[in-house]
Amino acid sequence: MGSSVTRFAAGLLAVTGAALFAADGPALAQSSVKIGYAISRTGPNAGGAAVTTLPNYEMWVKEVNAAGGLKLGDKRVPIEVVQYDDRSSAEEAARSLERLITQDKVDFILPPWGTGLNLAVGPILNKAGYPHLASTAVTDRAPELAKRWPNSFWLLGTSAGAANTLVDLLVKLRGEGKIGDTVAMVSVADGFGIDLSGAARPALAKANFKLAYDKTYPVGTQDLSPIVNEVKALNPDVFIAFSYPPDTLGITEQARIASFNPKIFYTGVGTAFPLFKQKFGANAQGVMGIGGWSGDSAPIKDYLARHKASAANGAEPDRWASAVTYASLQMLQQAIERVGKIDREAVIKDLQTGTFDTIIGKVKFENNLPTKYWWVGQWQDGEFYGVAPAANEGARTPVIPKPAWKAP
Amino acid sequence: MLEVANIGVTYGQHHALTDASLSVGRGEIVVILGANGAGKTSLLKAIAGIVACLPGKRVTLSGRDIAGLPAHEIVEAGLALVPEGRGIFADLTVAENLLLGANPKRARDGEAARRERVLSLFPRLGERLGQTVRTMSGGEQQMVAIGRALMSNPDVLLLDEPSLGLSPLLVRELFASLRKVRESGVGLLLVEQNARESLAIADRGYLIENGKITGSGTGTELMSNDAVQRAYLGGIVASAL
Amino acid sequence: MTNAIFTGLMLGGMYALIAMGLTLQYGVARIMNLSYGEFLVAAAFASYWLFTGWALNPLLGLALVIPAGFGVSLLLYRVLLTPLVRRARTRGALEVDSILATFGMMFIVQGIMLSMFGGAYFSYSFLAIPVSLFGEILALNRLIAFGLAVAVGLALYLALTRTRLGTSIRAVAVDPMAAQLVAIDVVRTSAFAFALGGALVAAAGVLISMFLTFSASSGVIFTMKALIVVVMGGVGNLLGCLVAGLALGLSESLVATFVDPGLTLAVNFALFLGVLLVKPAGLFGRAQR
Ligand SMILES: Nc1ncnc2c1ncn2[C@@H]1O[C@H](COP(=O)(O)OP(=O)(O)O)[C@@H](O)[C@H]1O
Ligand SMILES: [Mg+2]
Repeated sequence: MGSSVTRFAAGLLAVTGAALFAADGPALAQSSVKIGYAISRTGPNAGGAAVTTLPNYEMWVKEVNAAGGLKLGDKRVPIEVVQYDDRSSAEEAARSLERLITQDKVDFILPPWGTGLNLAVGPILNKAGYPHLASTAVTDRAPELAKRWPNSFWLLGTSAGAANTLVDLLVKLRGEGKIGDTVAMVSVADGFGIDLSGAARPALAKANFKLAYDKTYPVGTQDLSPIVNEVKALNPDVFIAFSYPPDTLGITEQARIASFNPKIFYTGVGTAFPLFKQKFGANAQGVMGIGGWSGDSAPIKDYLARHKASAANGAEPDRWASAVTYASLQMLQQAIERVGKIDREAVIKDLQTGTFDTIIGKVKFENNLPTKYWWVGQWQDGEFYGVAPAANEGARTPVIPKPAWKAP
Repeated sequence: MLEVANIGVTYGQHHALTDASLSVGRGEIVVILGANGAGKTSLLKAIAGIVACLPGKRVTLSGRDIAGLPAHEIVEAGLALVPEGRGIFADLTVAENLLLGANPKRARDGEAARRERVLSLFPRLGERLGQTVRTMSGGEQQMVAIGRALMSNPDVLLLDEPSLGLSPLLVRELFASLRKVRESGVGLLLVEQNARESLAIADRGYLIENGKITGSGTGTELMSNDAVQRAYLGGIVASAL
Repeated sequence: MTNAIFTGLMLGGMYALIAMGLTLQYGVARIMNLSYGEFLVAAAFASYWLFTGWALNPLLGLALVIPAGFGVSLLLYRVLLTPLVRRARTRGALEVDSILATFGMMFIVQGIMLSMFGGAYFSYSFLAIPVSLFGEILALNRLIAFGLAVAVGLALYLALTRTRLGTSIRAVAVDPMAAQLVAIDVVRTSAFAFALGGALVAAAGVLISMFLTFSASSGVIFTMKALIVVVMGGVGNLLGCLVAGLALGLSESLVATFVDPGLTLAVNFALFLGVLLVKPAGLFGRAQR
C-alpha cells in the first residue's frame, strides 16, 4: 500500500515537473532580460500553440542570445526565459501571468496562443503595464480593446476584416465571370466560426450572393461527411468553411473523397498549416483559406529556412500567424533596443508610434492596429500565397477555378 | 479428509472465532450448530480462504496443507463452499453457473458425467438451463448454488445455512439431496440453525458459542444433549424421523 | 437517406470501437481508466510513426501495436493498479482509487507524447480513397475501420459468451467475490481483462488515425466519448457498446443531414439522458447491487 502511494506521488511529481518548464539558474540582476510566457503545452489549444507560437518564441530567443542578447544602451544583455503551461485554461493563464509578474518579476511577457486566452490575459497585462502584442487573436473587438488597453496591439485584426475581404474577392471574381453566385457556408459553433460566419452572412447578402447552405456544427465533430455530401448536392460555386484545424483537414479529405470540387474551396484555421500540404500534397493546389503570406519575398523565404533549421523535426511555420508572431517579436526587440533600457512604459510608447522593420515588411501601428493583413491565401505549387487583399505587396492572382482533385 | 486445528478469526479488535478445531471424514455429514453471531460463517470462510485467519492454524485436506492458500487455489485443492446468501452469479444463466463451477482444473475430467449427475440430483435445473438465475425462486437458486459447487468435483463441500428462507417441504427435499451427495463420497460440513432436520442426517456435529467450539458428538448424541434441546429443539425430545 | 445511414453506421462503428476496451477495463477490472483516451492517441502516434517513418501499412501495424497495447496495459495493471486492487476493500473504493491513479497516468502518457512528438496536430492519408457501395460514395479507410469494429465486437462477444475463459471474465464482472469460489484467480483475470481492453484501445487508435486528425492533447475527447457509449450501453457489455455506439452515430448523421449539424451534440446528449432515464443501468446493463 505504501509503495503504491509513493509511486503515485512520484508520478504526480514527474507530471508537475514536466508541466513546468521553468528556466534554470538563478537570476543575476541586470545581467539578463527576463522574458516570461504562459503557453498551452497541453489541452485543446496545444495543437495551435505548438505550430504557431512556441517555435517562434524559442527561435527568437535563440537568435537574440546567439547575437549576444538584446542591445540595451551600449551593451548586449542575454534573454532569460521563464515559462509555464496554461493548460489551455483562462484561469490557469491568468494565474501564471500573475506569478510571472509578482513572483518571477519578469521584464516582459509574451502573449498566449489564441483569441480566448489573449482576451483573458488582456486586463492583467494592462493593469501591470506590460506591452501586449497579441499576434494570434482575431476579434471584432480589436479596435475597442486597443483603445481601452493602450498597451495592447492586435496584429491579426478583426473577423469582419477577414469576412469582408473574402466577400470582396468573391465579388471581384464574379465580376470577372469566374464564378457564379451560389455560396455554401459552414462554420464551427465556437468563437472563430461564430464571429466569421456572423460577419460573412450580411456581407454576402449585401453583395447579392445566394447563400444555399448556412449551417454550423459543434466543436470536435468527428465525421463531417453528412455536411459535405449535402453541400455537394447543392452544387455551389463557392464553398466556405470557417473551421478549426481537425475539421479543416476532415472537410477537405471528405470533399476529395466525394469529388466535391467547387470553383472556390475555402477552409478555415489549419489551411495554412504545413500539415495541410504534407497531408494533401498535390491536392492542396487551389485550396483557399484564411491567412497567407508573401511567399516570394526574400525575408519570408529566409524566415522559412531559419524556422525549419530551428524547430524540432524541421517543422515549418504556418503561413499566417507564424510570420506575424515572429514579426511581433522583432517589433518588441526593436522597441526595447530603441528605448535602451527596461522601461515598459517607454517601450509601449515606442510600439505605438514607431516604425518597424520586420519579415512581413514595414509595420507601423495606427491606433495600436496594423494597417495591412493577409486575409485570403491559396495553395499554389506547394506554397500558401496571400491572394487578398490584392493591394498587399506580393499578392498573387488566385487560381480559379480550383483544379480537380487528383487520386492520392 | 478435512482436518482443521486452532483456527481463529478477528475483525479488528473483535474475536469472532478462537482456536476452533474440527474434522470431516470421507462421505461424512458434519453439522455445526450455533446461534446468530456465534462465528459459524467466519469459520467456513476461514477454511475456504476468504477471510484471513490468525497465525497458528492448521488446515489439511486429504493430508495436503491448504492453510494460507488463496481462495481460488483452495477450490482447486478440492474444497468447495456454498456461502451464506448462496454466492451464485445471479446475472448469468443456470448453464453458465454450472460451466463456471467446473472451472477448476480438477473438475475438467469427467465434467459431462458430473453435470449429468447434478442434473439428475436437481432435475428442475435441467429444465431451466437457459434461465437467468436472478429470476428463479429461492429453492431453485439454492440448487444452482449446490450444483455449481458439486461441479468443481470437491472432496469436501461446505454449506452455510442452506435451508435459510426455504419452506419446510423444500428443506426436507434439500436435505434428502445432501444425503445423496454424501453417498458419492463427498464429505459435507454443514452450518445450520435448523437443528432438527440437520441433526437427522448428520453423522456428527459441533456446537459453537461465542466463537468457541463448546461441544461435539454424534448426531444422536447431540439430539439428546440438554443444551441442544434447550437452545434449538424447544426442549422436546425429537421423535425419531 | 442511404448515405446518411451509411455515414451514421460508420461513425457509430467507430464510437463502438473506441468504447469496447473501456467497457472491459471498467466493467470487469473495475478500473475507471481516465488515461484511456491517451492510450488511444498513443496508438495513433505509434501508427503514424510506423507509417511515415517505416512505411508500414497501418493495417499491418496493428500486428505490432495491438500486442504492445496488451503488454503495456498488463504491466500498468501489475505495477500501478494491483496494489490498489489489493488495498481496496470495496469495488467503490477501487473505482475511486483507480480514478486518482489513472488521472496521474493521463498526464504521464500525455507528457511522453508531447516530448516525443510535440503538441502539433498530426494526420496522414491512408486508403483515403472513395469506394462505391450501393451507389453511395464512402471513404475506404472509414469503411475498413467500421468492418473491423463490427468483426472485433462480434468475435469478442462470442468469446465472452461461448468460452469458459470468456464466461469467467464475465463472472468476475458480475461478482468477483463469488468468482473466487469457482477457482477463478480474480486479480489475474482482471489483469487479463484490463490488458485486453488495452489491446482494443490500441486497435481503435490505429484505425482512427487513418482518418482523424489527432494531437497529444486529444485524448480526453476519446475518453469522454467512450465513457458515454459505455454508460449508455451498460457497463461491461460489449453488445451494449455496439448498439449504443451505432445509435449515437446514426442519430448524429441523420440529424446532421436532415435537421441541422449544429444539433448533433444536443441530440447525442438527449439520447444519452433519455436512455439513462428509462434504464439507469444502460441499454444492456443490469441494476447494480
Ligand atoms: N466483516 C466483519 N467485520 C466485523 N465483524 C464481523 C464481520 N463479519 C462478522 N463479524 C462479527 O463476527 C461475529 C461472528 O459472525 P459470523 O461468523 O457471521 O456469525 P454466524 O455466521 O454464526 O452468525 C459476529 O459478532 C459478527 O458481528
Ligand atoms: Mg452466518
